[in-house]
Amino acid sequence: MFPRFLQIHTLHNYTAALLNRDDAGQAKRLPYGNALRTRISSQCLKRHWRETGPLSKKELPALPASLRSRELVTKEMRQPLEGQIDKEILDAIESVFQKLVYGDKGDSSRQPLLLGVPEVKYLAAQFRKVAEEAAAEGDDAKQAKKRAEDLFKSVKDGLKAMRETTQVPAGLAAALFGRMITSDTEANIEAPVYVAHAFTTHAGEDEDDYFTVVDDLAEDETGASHIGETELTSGLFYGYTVINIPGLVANLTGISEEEQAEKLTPEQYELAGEVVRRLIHAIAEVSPGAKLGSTAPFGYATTVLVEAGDRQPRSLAGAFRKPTAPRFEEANKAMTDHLAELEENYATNEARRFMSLDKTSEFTGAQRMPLPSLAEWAKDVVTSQVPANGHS
Amino acid sequence: MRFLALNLQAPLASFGGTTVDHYGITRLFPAASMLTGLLGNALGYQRSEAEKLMELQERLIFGAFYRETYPEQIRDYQTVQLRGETSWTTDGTRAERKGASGDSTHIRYRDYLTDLDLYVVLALTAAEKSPTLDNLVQALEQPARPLSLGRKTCLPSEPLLLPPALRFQEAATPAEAALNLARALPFRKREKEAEAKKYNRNVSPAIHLMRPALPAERALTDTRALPPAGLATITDERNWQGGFHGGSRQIVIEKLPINTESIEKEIPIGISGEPT
Repeated sequence: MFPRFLQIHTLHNYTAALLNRDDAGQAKRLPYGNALRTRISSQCLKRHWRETGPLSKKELPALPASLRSRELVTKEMRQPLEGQIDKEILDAIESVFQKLVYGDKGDSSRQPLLLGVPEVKYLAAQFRKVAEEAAAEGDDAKQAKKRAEDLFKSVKDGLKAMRETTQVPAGLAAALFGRMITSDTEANIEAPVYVAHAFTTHAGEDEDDYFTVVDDLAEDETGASHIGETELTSGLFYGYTVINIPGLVANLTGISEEEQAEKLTPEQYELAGEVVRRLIHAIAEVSPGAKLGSTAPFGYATTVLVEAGDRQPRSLAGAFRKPTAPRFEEANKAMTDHLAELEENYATNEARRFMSLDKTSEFTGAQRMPLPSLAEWAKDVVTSQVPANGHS
Repeated sequence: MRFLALNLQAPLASFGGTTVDHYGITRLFPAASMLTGLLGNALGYQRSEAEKLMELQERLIFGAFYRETYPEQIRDYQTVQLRGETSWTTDGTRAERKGASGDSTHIRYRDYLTDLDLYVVLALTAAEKSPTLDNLVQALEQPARPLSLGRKTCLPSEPLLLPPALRFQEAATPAEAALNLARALPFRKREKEAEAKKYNRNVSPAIHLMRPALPAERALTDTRALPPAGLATITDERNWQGGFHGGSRQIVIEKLPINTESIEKEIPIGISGEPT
């Protein structure tokens, strides 16, 4: 059996930063094993991975992007037609499309929705078509609405057909991290990438940073024109991500898991492998964080362990349930020891590779290599799933 | 009846209850729908395979227990950034909304249990039917998708299956299966007593068990905090065809000593996790 899962474990060091805040402006936390840790939510991590770095639109132009908005119909479908087509007709058609895209409450209280650029383009073309037809036939608002509603029925089938035939219909972000559409479960996309909240391997370390703003021009007065306080934290974070490889391939190609062995082309495996390679770089090299300008929380992972296998994925969080000293070498040792213990008891035998700045650490059954090779290896795990009979 | 035992461990987990507005709460014990989803995921069922999921849920009998203490809860604050908003109103006009409520951010609160260490004993009615408990073991060992404990970010830190010697319990009820398992597990104090006191936790060797109510108990009215047993009516079954939760069933939450000696001090157990 081909490896179904890739598990990625990381250690990251961030000093004097405020990476992820709660509604009180304090760092997010996690009580774990009787020590209060600093935490980075998975939403925060994912946002930075997809917006910047090797997975961003700029770096990966071959794959279409996704748009998350409440305004897809207004901005992307209606606005280009304003001035060309009668306002009343546009209003009538827009109302129908809002319901098509956002469900029954589309007119009044829409939820933000993630759609892929191909989906938006398809819908915009449909919008234009019905609007131009309505204008040419001299429809009034009521007739235009009826025309859009008739289209509505066929668009649903069209959307389904598009999802099944277009590559990455919902865009890269949805292909990786999924999407949920409450009004249409058929349009849901299961996330194949599962991301845990990252947390410090040690008890949280924080400091209230007192700061002042000195007024350069106020000569007569001494002191500051503004004083304030902000919380800063330092920590060594354990991060964990699982990729469900067949699920990712399905989202990127539109070919269901059952049909992949028969239908997938080597180019499609190559694409999925490339996305995985870039995701590993993003996980290791892209930093989450607020206060980018004032704290520069930029850091690369100090350890990355990648496991490929088909046994039930499990994190190595248990290594840090007993808080370690806040030193990289000790956290690394806790992680290597914990993996050895798990392997001894469960013998899951995943294939493993790792990168670590700690020259002495060894992970059970794992070969050491630099990050680019590690990411290439993960890519090979995906691309080598091409069946032996091959495809043209 | 044969019960399969699972151990759910994770830094974060969520056993979703009723979401009200933007507050996603968690219960202390997993719902029937959550276990169905977990097992269905392992078996490779699709969300759209409602009939298979309904059948699995209907066959499921389970109890769950914590040893010594309940987990703590945290509330996670999330934001969703939006572009500027112009919305339609029901009278057909467009409403321009500016300022804090318009061009701004959606806010969500999501509750989590932290440092979860929960045991589940589960049986299937019509035991010879597929999937059998043995099918479930196979699926949990090599699941079709990664398994998570309530939300996709809640990834387990240990395999869910217990070692073979502890994996199965022969018992008449979930309560009996849970007690048998609790007695077979090596006693393990997760926290030092002094530390536990600091966090106001109870470390006496007891288990906190949730199980389906027995027929005799069902006649009683709900007792939210009545030692030794609390009886509650919960809605934790999902209509997988319709995509909503419905129905209701009665459960009992009780504290039991692991050893057969008497409990030193009785603590009333409320059914928390509901919105207050």
